[in-house]
Amino acid sequence: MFPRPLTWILSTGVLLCTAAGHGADLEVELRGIHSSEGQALVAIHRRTQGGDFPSDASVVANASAPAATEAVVVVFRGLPPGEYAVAAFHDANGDGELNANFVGMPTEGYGFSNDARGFMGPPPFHDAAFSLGADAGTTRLVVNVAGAEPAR
Amino acid sequence: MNHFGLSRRNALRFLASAPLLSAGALRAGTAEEFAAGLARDRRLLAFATPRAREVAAPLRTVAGRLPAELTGTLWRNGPAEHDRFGHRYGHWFDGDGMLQAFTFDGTGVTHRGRILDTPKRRRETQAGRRVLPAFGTVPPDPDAIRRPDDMNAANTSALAHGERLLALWEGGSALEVDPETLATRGFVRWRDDLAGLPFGAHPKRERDGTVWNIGVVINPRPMLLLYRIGPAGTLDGFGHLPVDPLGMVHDFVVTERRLVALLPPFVVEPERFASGHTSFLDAHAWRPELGTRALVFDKDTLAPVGRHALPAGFHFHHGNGWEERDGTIHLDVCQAPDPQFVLRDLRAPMHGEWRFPSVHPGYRRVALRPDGAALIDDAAPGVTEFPRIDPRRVGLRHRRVFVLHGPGPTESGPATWVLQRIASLDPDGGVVEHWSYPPHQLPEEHVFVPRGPAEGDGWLLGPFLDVARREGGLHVFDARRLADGPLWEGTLPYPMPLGLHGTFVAG
Ligand SMILES: [Fe+2]
Repeated sequence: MFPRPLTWILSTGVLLCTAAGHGADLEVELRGIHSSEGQALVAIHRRTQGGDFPSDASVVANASAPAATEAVVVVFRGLPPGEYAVAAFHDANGDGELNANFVGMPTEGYGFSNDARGFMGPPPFHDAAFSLGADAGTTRLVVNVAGAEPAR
Repeated sequence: MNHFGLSRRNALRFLASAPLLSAGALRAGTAEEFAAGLARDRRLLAFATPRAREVAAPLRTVAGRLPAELTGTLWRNGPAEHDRFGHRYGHWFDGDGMLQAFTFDGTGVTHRGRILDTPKRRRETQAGRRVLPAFGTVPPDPDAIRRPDDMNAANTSALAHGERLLALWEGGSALEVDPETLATRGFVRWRDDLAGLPFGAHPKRERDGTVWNIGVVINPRPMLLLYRIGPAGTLDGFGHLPVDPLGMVHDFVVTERRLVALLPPFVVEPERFASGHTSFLDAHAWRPELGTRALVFDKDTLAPVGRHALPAGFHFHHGNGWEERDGTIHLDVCQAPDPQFVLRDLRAPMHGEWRFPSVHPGYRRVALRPDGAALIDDAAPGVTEFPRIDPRRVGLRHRRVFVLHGPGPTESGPATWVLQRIASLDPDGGVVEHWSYPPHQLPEEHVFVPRGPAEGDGWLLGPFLDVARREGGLHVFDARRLADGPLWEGTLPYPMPLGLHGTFVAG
């Protein structure tokens, strides 16, 4: 089984997600959140058989942190070696959902590792994918959560 | 806890959908070829980028007298920043919008203009180059767009409503602008679940203050949106109708009980959807076999209540619509045989080529009968575009339409701008009167401002570009005495590129 985050501790803007077992640590720095309302939600994904990405089936770990306009750092510990992708969004209204308008277009900011972008949608997994080795130590990556502008 | 599985069904559908833009981008312009063209033909100044991002100056009176009782602001919008970071767009409609104000205080007119600070433009400032697809041009190595507002140039028209000043584009949200500073305040969210959806550039305001509008969604599936905005500026109703295939629908009309949209057979084709390297315009196909579809909606329910078939044609604008007691709907339209002028001819000046368009919109009348019959016929000779009516007649029978007009290529030849006249039309009687601009002045849309109680009793405010003096300018006409020429002419100490649409706010 993949480790699930057990807890997170917020300290000076750094969020720690401690997972059981050994493996690599991953620091995800979220940038571009346009307000401090709500929370930032981050998930680590792996490749699935069916290729669904991002989906509930592809999630291996997730975490949330209070939103902030300065960089928010979320740390995942003890990830086993493998290929991963990070997806994150700014849950501005704190309802735990990536809200969408009635045609299904996300109305909250979101982003992926490698700054991978699909056309008005998510990129394919391989565009967002990166590898963590067995003795990778700590890896840091930046995810730009490009938001819809604050609307009036 | 949310796993960011994008688990909402509609979000998944959106995210899984095909891209809007497709392969095979047409070439952008270059500053060099444009400069060479401008040296050959001074009229190309109409498509030059303003020298400054912000401009302000009083207008200098050249001739005539300003009516003292004419007070208020003419807001205008249009693509203006055609060049940036050494990249020149390839289509007239691409450029970042410049919102302009001509403010009449009873003794003089002052002008202000500012290139709108959109998220799109900010992103490009950050990148140090053009990175977002535009209406008719895709820059090299473009960013993928996450939502239509990523490429919102806010460059088409303006709406002042319910204490808000809005810059409108066709493919995305209305952008609220501070009327004092022309700084942007953010996109309008009419309702949370409507955030980011297209709000068209030709809203219609009725006498009771209700504003109607349409929007066209292509992705994830094509649909027409209908908005009813109350006098206070809040959403009073919303409707949508899946329509497949669908492409640009730039304008519509409102009657006493109905909204009517004419859909030209110029539609976005799924098979052209691909990599994000073809512009929105070039993702369209001309499919005359579809004909022009007329869709009629009930204003109370916003549900479709009628469909009519008309011959193929391409149009942007209507003057007005109204209905008879028996339910027959009448409307007028500036319709061309095909969309070549937008596909091809409106690109030419971006490349430094002054081209007389090969096909032209003409003034036509449409009747949609309750039994489903539909008729269309020519209602005035020559070329017409930018129709405006007395705003007190929106949805009611109108007897006057004020248009930019041209006699057509056979009379005028390629020496003049195709729309060299301001004309007053009677929908049933053709051209009532007109005034011809001198060849060195290129007119823009003329906006009607009411004065006395009768229809057509008012002024026309007409911005123009003087390519001989390299100055922008403004004319004020008595709308019932166009042939006499302008009551007043003022000029600016700088040129402005030709814009698109405006709205007048009295006071
Ligand atoms: Fe228009």
